[in-house]
Amino acid sequence: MSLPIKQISLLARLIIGSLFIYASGYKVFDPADFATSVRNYMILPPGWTNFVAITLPWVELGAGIFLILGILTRPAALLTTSMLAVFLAGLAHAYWIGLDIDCGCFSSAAQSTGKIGLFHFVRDSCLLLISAFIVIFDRGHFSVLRNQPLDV
Amino acid sequence: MKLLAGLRMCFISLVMCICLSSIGALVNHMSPYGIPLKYEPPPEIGINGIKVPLIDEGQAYKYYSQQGYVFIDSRHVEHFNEGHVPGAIFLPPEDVQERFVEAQPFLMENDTLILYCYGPDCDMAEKVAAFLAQMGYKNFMIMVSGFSAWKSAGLPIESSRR
Repeated sequence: MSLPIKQISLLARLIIGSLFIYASGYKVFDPADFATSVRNYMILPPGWTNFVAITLPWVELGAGIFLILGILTRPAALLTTSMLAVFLAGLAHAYWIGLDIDCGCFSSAAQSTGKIGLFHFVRDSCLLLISAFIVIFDRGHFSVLRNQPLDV
Repeated sequence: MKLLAGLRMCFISLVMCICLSSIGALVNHMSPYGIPLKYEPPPEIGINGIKVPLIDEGQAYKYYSQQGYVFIDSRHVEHFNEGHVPGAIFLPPEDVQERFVEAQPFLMENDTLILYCYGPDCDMAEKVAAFLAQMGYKNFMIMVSGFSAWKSAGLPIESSRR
């Protein structure tokens, strides 16, 4: 019995797409707060953090919408996969140098209470795998654009 | 062909990323809650009603060997032991009350305390400053660029394995 790749891919798109839209919410509406989260990770030079906080949430939001609608699905999934890989690297960096900071992943750094831990690594790794699955296996099924080539 | 399709996918991703980023920049520009594209740290902050100047490692170094200025390291113990500003007092926010008992004899009330942690916007130095303000200290500066900048600038470092 072969795996229902089409259905699994749709499910993966819905999971990653909705999570990215949800995660972009507070960041889109409060870039100043998200900029603080970015600075807390101490990876980027501080001068660049505002730029990232202004642009990244919109990439998250856009990629999430594209994934759910099935428009340019694989390029959108490549974006989410890349972002998840960067987030994972950020978490690892923060954990490595012993930063006592909030994840800032889904909620404001000022509101969230969960410090970075194993849970964040597992969660991000799972999402990374799901997102990579879309890049590799999605063939453009269940797309709102019917004329989209299936082999992009 | 697969390589070509892969490159095409990467290119589309890149264009998508640039377009979405541009939308973000445009919305931020028009929004009343927009923030500047380039972040500038504030020159001073208020802690318990006290104005605390934020200085960089160059300014901090000017006070380094002067009388009446004491450096306070608020990072984690293992990083303090690996290297710190020579003569800095170790005072992390986690157990500031216990450590303060040991540190108090070295901190005169009229001294200016220069606090630092890792780099810009780690808030450990601020937390310790808030505690010290409650203890009656009034003169603070925060080396906001942190120990990473001090080290990168090649300024003196002392390590301790205690």
